[in-house]
Amino acid sequence: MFRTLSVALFVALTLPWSTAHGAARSELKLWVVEARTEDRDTTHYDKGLEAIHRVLSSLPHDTYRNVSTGIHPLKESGITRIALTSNYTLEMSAPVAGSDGRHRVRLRILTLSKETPAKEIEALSTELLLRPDKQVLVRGLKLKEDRELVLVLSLSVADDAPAGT
Amino acid sequence: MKTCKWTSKVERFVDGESHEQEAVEAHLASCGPCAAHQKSLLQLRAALGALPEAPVLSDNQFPAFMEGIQAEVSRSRRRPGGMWALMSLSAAALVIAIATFSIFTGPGPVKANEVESVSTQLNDATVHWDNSDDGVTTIWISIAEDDV
Repeated sequence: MFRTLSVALFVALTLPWSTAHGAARSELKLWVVEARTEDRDTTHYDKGLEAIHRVLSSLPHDTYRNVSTGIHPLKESGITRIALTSNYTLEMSAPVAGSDGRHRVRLRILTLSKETPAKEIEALSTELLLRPDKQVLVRGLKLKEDRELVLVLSLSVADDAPAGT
Repeated sequence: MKTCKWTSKVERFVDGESHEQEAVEAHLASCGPCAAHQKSLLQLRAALGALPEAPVLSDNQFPAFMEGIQAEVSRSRRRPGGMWALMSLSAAALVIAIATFSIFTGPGPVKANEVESVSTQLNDATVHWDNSDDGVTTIWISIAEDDV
C-alpha cells in the first residue's frame, strides 16, 4: 500500500511539471472584415461574424462583409504569415508564455508601398501581451472607395498538444 | 612447574574416585607441588559451579520455541515497509511544501491584454490603442493622407 501511495505521489508531483513544460499548440483565431457605410437603417453583418457583433458595434460603419474567418496554427518558432487581402499580409511571431498568463507576440501588418509598389512596408508593427481568448480589434487599414479593413483576432493556447504539432 | 608421580592419584582424590584416600592425604601433607595442584583443581571446580546452568528445552517446549523464532523472522521481513512509509511521508510533506510555496509565490490574477509598442511606416499616420472595460483591445491606425 505504501509503495502504491509513493508512486501515486510521485506521479502527482511530476505530472503538472511535465505538462507545463510540454509543447503548447498556439492558434490565432482571425476574422477579416471589410467595413463600409451605406446609410442603412440597420447594421448589416455577414454570416460568420456573429461572434464579433459586439466588438464591431463600437465602429461607425453599418455594413460588415466577411472577407475570411479562420483559425490559423502558429509556428512554434519563427513567423507565421497570413494573407489578408491582395494588399495586406499579417505576420505573427510564435507566442512566448509569460509568468502572468499572458503571451508575448510581435504582430506586423504589411502592405505595398505607394511610392515603391514592389516594397513591403509596415502598416502596423506592434508588440502585444495577449491574454488567451481575449480579442484584439485592429482598424484603420484603408481599402478602396472609403472602405476600411477591420481585423479581430484572439490567441488560443492548448497545453495538451503532443510535441511536434 | 614441578610434577609428581602422585599427580594422577591427587586428581582422582579431588574427583572422589580414589581408593587410597589416606595415603593421598598423607602425601599431600608432605608434597608441596601436589598440594598446589589440589588447590588449583578445587578453585577451578568452585568457579565452574558458580556459572549459571544453561536452560534445557524439553520435547514439549520445542514447538513453541520454533514458533517464536518463526514469528521474529516474519517481523524482520516486514521491516522494509517502514522505509516505504517514511518515503510516503516525505513525499506528502514535499507536496504540502510545494502547495504552500505555490500559494504564496504563484502568479497573480491574469491581466488584460497590453500593447507594449506600436508603430507604422505609413506616411502621416499615427497609431492609438486602448482597452475597453470588457477586455477588448482596439488598435487604431489613423491615416491623414492615403498612403496605400
